[in-house]
Amino acid sequence: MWYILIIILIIVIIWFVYVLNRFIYLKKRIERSKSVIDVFLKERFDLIPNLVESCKGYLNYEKETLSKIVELRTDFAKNNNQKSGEKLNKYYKELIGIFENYPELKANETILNLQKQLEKLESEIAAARRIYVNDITSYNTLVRKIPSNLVAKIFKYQEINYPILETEEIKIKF
Amino acid sequence: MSDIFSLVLNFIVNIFIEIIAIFIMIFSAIKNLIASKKVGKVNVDINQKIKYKKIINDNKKLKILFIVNIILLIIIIFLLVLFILKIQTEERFLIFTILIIMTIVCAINYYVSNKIFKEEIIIKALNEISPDLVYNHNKGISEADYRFADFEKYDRFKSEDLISGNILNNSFIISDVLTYNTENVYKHRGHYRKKVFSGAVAKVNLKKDIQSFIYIINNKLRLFDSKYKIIIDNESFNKKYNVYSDNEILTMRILTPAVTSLILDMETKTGVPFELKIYKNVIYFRFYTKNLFQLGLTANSSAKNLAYSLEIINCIQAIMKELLQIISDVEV
Repeated sequence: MWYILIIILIIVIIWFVYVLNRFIYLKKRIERSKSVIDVFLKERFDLIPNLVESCKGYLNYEKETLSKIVELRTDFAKNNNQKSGEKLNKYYKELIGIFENYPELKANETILNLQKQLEKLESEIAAARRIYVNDITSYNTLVRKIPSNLVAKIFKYQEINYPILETEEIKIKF
Repeated sequence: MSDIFSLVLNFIVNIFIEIIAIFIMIFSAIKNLIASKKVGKVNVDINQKIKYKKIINDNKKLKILFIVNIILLIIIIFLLVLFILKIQTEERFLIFTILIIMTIVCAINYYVSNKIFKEEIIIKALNEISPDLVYNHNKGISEADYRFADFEKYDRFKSEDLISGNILNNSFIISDVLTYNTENVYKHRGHYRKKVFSGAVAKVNLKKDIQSFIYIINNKLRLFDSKYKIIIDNESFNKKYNVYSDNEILTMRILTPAVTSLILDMETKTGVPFELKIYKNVIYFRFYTKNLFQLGLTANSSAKNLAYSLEIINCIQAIMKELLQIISDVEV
């Protein structure tokens, strides 16, 4: 009789360890996916001065947008101001939209190279965001699901809110 | 008293375990039965079938050969029954000789019908779906091309029924492939040839090298190294397919929701399991199906096979087109 109880206990312990490891693994994955997005955003952020510099000669009528981007980027880099970051994103999108009105930009090789780099980055950011949301979904499912929610309660694993992402993907076209 | 109690409890626990085991056995048997019914279930568009049946019936020679084939088969069955009944009599030698001759005539008739079917009917049918597709019955995908995909270990390779063409200016081929592997019987006392793969393989050359691999396998088939497993953000896709890659970001860039839904659509339309592999600068598709363009016994069954094969080609082309567009836009 006792051996049955011992077997059941061993099974419960194995399951418990498995679920706990799964929580640890998913938490690490979420952290990793988030840092991957940050790396790509940083790359995009670093490309902005080059982009602004290369476009200066062509975008005579958009000088205000360009100077605003430079200003916001400097503020964000110095003070890590989140509001500046959000505004920078908004102006960056505006700048990409403006590009379509200037077909002469196509002739500049530096701008074309920048365009390729940006295209790659935007697509990588979108993919990294999908992975991040996917990881959060897997984690939240485990937190809510019975019986793994028991382990979540014991070890205080709580649901993670989905990030507020840019709703529209930035399409780079010159 | 406590002994009796523990004995009874032990008995109940044992019975309980047995019942669970029986339930698990019944459940897995039913699951396997359903899975085997699902695999290879052919969903053929009736309108397409009627169209191809008309093409077959328009060929007078083939129509006659089909009728002759059925008559010959009836005669062979009749002779076989007669041979069994008259096995004790002297007439058995005569019946046996006629039976052999009829079988040879039937085989020749099938060979000629198959030749007409492949050389005339398939070419006409292919023209209906895409005029730039070229069919060659005697050629197949080259072994070097197949080996490059590194699907499995094999030592015998056979390929025929090659269709070649272009998708968005990228060369495209599809053909039947059969691979065998020689395996040793216990303690090298002999060996036997085991069929490893039988089905259709499609290949498209890309204009750029993705420098990685992406491998999509129907989960009814087999598993790959779990360290490369990737979860896609489409639950119904994850239930049916396992995705493996050494580059997660690139996989998510290529396997967009449009591609995953096209793959799911193909599963619904064809009902056969498949593998998709993007490796360096090549896309491979492997279908676990019967031979493409198999001649049936009648015009009806041949038209059904033809409609099925062309449906597979259509689906592959649609997915390849979507993938090619995405990969051409993707900067690696």
